[in-house]
Amino acid sequence: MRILIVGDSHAGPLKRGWERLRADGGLHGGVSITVHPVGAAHKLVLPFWQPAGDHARITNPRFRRRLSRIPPSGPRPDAIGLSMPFWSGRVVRKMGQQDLSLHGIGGPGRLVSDAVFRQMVLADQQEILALADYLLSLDLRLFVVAPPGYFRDFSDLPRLGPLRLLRLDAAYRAVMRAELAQRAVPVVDVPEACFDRQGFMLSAFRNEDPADTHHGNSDFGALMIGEIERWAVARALSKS
Amino acid sequence: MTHPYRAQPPRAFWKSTIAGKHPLDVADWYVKRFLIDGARIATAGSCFAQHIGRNLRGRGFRYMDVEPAPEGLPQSLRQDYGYGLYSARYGNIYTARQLLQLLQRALGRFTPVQSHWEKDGGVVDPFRPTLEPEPFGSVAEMEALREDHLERVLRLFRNAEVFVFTLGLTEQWLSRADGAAYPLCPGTAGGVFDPAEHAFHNLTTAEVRADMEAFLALARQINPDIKLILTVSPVPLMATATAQQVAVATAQSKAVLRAAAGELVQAHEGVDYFPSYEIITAPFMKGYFFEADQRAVSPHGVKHVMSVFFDQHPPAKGAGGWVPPDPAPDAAEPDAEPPLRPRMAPGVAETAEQVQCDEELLKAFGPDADPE
Repeated sequence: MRILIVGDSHAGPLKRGWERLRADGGLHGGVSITVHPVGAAHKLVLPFWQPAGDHARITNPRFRRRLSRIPPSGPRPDAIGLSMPFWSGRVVRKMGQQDLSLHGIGGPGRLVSDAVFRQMVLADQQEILALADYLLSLDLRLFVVAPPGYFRDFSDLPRLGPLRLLRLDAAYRAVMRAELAQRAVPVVDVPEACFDRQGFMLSAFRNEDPADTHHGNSDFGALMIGEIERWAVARALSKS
Repeated sequence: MTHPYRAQPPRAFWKSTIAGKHPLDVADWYVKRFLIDGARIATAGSCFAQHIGRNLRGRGFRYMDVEPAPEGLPQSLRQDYGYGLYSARYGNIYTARQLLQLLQRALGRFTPVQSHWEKDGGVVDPFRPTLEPEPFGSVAEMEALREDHLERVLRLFRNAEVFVFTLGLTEQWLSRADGAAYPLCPGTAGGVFDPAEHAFHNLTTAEVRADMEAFLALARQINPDIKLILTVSPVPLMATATAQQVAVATAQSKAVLRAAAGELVQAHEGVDYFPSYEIITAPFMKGYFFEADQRAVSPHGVKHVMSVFFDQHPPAKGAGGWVPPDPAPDAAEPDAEPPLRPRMAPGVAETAEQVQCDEELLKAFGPDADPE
């Protein structure tokens, strides 16, 4: 089974985890995974692709240096994993900068309605959802790979506070989960064991760079590659 | 022989001001009573008031917006969700009674019995039922948003130096239980109309005057120097609940509002009247500024009205285009919000995060991308 994973910078730890598993002989034999970056998350809110017949042509010049089309030319993947639709950082940060909050969180912040928040999420994911819709229209099978949750030293935590950060992230993911469910796109989630009791990611999965407060490390990447392999095998078994 | 008319300026005489003039050449509509330049200005009222707010904002006045649209909500959706229409998200305030009760609710002096209307499986706020395109998911969400809104409305009235209010209607639907004034008839945008619970009332001149006097007195309890600019909406009634023909009902409604506004100006130094109603509807204007439906005011009409207003209130040179939602926090306003930035330029943390994203991509996929 051939699986292509494309995504934002959270694809980095997936790639590094995959390389480690490959070096250790820890990859599942029946599943072939390749990981490609699209580009940094803050650029994904702008148009970065165009329909091009049987594929999506990447139009952002910088993105194109690494990946010019989805799927790449060659054998068609059995499934494409998108590591882009669940990263809430852009919207969460905007909420913090403007001191906004949602009903039910409590604490400071001007409230916006759930409907307004949903529109903010959909605007944030507009290009990515449109890409997903296009790939689905090409009869490509999609799934979503969840990025890590937030770590306790996330740079915007002091501004937002832990409860608001986690609740906004959950609300963001809930909006996207509903959108993906409408499209019958499954999600490979981060295992619950990766989170502490409050809902923050365990520091064991924190990026190796001390200054990086939001990416996972290669352990996290390897763990998620294992999750993807398990999901793919289960899916293949259920189909057979 | 002398008499008082000899001292009157030319604008006081029909012959020199109106007769024989092209409607667009009629001048001297308005002489301001006080300056607004440099003052914190807030707006509310019926839909025509939106034009005033938009023009004040666009021309660089210190226009207050205590509930600005979130950065990240697309521009095309902002008005649909009640942002940017007025100085707060109160929606259209058609009557003096509504305005008075808004301030009373913000001050915690009035809590209407009917807290919500059901609509399409959700709920709406009876006092701004068309605020958002979809109903709220729960009563708790709607009430939390209303509480948050009223806190900001109170800050608005505490801090505004000039409040521009457009009187729109006299016809009003009230709760029989407590007199709560709804902007729309129950059942039209949510809720269920029940004659046992809801009553129609057409406000009289005395009632409009009394409601506005009560509003002004209450506003000056928390903001002694607040000034008021009144206008009357030139837009006719869409429908009447009286037995009268709609144009006849419109004439009564507008006459009542115009008379009440005139009385308020006569009674208070700090109240001005701007004649947008007359500029659009005066008989010698020949309906020139109405659209084909004889109800909507054309963009040309709005532009003409605004040119008259801003001839008297020219914005200061170099006026900025952005006004913080509240004045800077001070000792008297410990709960004031920090001013928002006009644009969300990336902060230090955001920039650092973007660098980390690039570094993570380089680390995993190699140095084949040029830094921008």
